[in-house]
Amino acid sequence: MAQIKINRNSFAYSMIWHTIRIMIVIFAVSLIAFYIIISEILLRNSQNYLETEVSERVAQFENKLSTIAMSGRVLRTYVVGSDLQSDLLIAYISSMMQHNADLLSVCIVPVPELMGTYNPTIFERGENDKALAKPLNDEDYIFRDWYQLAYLMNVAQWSEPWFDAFGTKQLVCSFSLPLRREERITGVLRLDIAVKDLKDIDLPKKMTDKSYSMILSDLGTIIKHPADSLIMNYSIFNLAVEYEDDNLKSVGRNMIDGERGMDKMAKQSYFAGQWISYAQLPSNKWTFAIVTDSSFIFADRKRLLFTIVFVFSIAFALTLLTIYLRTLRISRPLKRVAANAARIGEGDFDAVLSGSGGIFEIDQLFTAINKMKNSLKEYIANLRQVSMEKERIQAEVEFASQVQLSLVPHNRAQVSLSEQISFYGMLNPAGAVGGDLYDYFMIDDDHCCFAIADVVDKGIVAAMTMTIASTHIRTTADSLKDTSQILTSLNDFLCSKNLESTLITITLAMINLKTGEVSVSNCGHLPWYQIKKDGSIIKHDQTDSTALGVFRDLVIEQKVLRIEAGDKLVLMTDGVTETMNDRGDFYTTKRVEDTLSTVTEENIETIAETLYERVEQFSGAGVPRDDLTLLVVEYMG
Amino acid sequence: MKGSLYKQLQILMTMLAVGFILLFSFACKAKGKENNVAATHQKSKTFPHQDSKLFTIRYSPKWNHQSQFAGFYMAREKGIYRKYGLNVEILALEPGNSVVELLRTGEADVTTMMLLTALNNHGKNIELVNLAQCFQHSNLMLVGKKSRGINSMESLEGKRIGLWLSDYRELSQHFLKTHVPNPIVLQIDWTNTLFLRDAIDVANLMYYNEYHILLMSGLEEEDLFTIRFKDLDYDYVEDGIYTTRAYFDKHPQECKAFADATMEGWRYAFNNPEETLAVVMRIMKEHHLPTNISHQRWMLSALKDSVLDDNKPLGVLDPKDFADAKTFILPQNPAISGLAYERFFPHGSD
Repeated sequence: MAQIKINRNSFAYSMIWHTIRIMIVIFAVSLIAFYIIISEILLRNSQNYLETEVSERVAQFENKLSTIAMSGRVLRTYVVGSDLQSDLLIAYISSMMQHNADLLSVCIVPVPELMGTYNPTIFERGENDKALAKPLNDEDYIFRDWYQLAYLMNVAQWSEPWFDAFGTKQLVCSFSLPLRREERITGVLRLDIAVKDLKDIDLPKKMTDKSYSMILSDLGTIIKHPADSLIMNYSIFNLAVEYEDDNLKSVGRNMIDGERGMDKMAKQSYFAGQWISYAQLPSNKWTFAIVTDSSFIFADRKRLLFTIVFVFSIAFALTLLTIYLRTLRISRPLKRVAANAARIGEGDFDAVLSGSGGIFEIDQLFTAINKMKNSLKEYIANLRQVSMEKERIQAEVEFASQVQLSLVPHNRAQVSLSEQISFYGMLNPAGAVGGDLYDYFMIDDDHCCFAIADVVDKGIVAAMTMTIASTHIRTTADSLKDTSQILTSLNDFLCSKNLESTLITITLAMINLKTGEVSVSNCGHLPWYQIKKDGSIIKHDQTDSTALGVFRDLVIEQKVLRIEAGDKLVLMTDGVTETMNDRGDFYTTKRVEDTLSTVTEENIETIAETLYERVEQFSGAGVPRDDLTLLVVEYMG
Repeated sequence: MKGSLYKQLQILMTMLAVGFILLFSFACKAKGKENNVAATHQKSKTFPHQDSKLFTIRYSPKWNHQSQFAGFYMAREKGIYRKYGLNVEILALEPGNSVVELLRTGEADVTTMMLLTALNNHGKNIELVNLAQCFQHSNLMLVGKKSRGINSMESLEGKRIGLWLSDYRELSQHFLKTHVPNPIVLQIDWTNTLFLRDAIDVANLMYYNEYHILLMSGLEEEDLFTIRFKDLDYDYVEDGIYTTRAYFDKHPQECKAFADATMEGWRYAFNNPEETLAVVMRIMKEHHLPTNISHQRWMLSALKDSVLDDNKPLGVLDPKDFADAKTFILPQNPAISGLAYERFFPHGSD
């Protein structure tokens, strides 16, 4: 199976990747906002729904309780002054029991002062719901809550749940009413309902999985709860203490204070994150509560979130597909541009660029590239011609260099023209050709001429000038045999030709090999050195004129001196003294002299090579320099 | 001669029979011992225990089972009674029964009782002996709601004050008579409902029990004005272990063992509160008594200072406490005028 190769640098990939990132951020923010808003709406709806459910059940309870209370109030009018064993009263209580299934028993007791006028009696539900009158066997009934609440407070009220050990042997809740005659309490009437019957109030079916109902007494005691172990054992405050749940404690207070509300329980609570909606029963101040799970409160949230995620995913996918297809429409012509550019790069200027896909900007790009291609084609043609010309010139320059080098005698070789004299010359031009020159040749058997010169320029022009000067010296030396005349002739020649580069510094010498007499003319050139046989060095720094090639009618003098057999003469161009190091310091004549002082005993080759090496070491690599020329002569006598 | 041989054979057969019987009884005894150990181990988790080899004592608490009697439960549960050679049956007090009556009729051998109750009944067809004094302080208190204007002793004047029908009632009445002008004293049942419904202004209750129930009915401690008798001159010690003089004279060692084992049980209970609470809850569940663990935890914790008092030896009735209680009860029961501390609390001289 072919694998799809993903180019992470492609335009499509980049567009899609950036779009994904932006859309994920937008989606996440939208989802959070939606989650918060929808949660609030659902919570509000659930709150309303649960409040309604709680209210309905409170009304059902209230109906039960108020029916009992109403029955009690009616019965009280019969009881006062009646014979408790009378058939009429029993028949009336029986009728009450038949019409009110919640009524478990009825108890009528006198206050202690009236004991004897009638006796404490309990009426229990017998066969066919007929009331059975029995004496109440509780001697301490006057200390019971149900009695004392009615007696002490002189109002009818519901008791806390209590176990009726002397009657029905059940957990009951009693409605007690004071019996009065002429504003005086004569006894207490008690109507009981079984607490277990209070459990028969069901929640709607859709709530049963996640919810349950709970009843608390007015003191917070749990009377109804799915967990039997809590009933009559725990108050809501016990649960709050056991689970260290202050929130539940405050909810419990709200409940017994008669407030209506809906609260979310803490996770560590007994009700572990559940919601409690509650309201109080007006009759007995009990609290009815529905405990439900968050999954019920926010049941629709999951569905809505799923829908939004689904819709967004589709939109997301479609957006990415569209971006992919659109980027392909752009990237394909761009690929053609790239391929075309590659062909142009390879020199194929005939490649045709077409198929812009009808996109305006790509069309403009194609036009520009085609135009560029044509311009480039023309430019390359011109460049090729220029290159050919340059190559030709280069070849000529190389030829000129060879010619120039051939003019100097056996460069870098110790040459002895006769037994009396030998030479060692070095010429190292800065470019292909240089403006420096050294030369030496025999004029006749007894006379030898040598020179060192420097044209104040570089390149081919300087080389040509130097070639002219060299040729002129060689041709005139034979006839003139005087250094001042030879150089005067050369100056006249240079000045007459109006050459672009004619300024030449030169030291020309002619030596009589028999006598050791040397005629020298120094026209603006560097000093030269005489290393005598005894090792002493004489610096000849006097010039005989300015440089040649500038002034016509230049007067050039000639000095004559005599050298001894064994003396050596060292001549050089300014390429030696003006060589710079990387700090910008010149080599200077001082360093030349120091170097020469170390090689006075050496032969001329060693002298030249040592000086050259020292200069090279001084300059270091990478520092541009001038032409560098040395000529060392030894007179052997 | 024949008769003599017959007689000799008869003697021989008798000796053999006696030998067999002795051997058999020794074997049974040894086996019985093993069985007892196993039975003890097994029965330590049941309630009540039975063991015919131990001396049986029937103990009745003075009230429904709760942490108030944790020392007895743990002495039983952890085999401490057995270690002392006792098999203790812990009875359940039926509603309406009084422990004095149980002792008098012989339905119980030992009971718990308040010192004042014991002295009040002493000499009335019964002579009581204190085997150990469990609680060294009074836990009785009066409580009023600040919201109903009860915030000082003076504010109790003319208020409805509910008292239980018990010896606590006498004590509270004495206190009210000497400290509160014109109180309206009402006898009430053993619930807090009247107080919580404002049918009465002040309730008489125990710190370790009803006071916590008030707090678990939505009231806060700062909502209540409290008078604790232990902080006044009314710190009459409460629960002690009692039996009749006749029973004590008959079984003095067993009575001593019961007292020592019970106090050891109390010490264990306070050292291992969670284990003790589990036992209390189990016993209360077995007797279908409504409660919850947070309430029993409060009770056990509240009683700790009352039982383990640094200033009084564990389980010993302080002669001063005896003298104070005697002085208090004497007007009501002159029969105790000649009652000596040593006779009333014979273990005090040990």
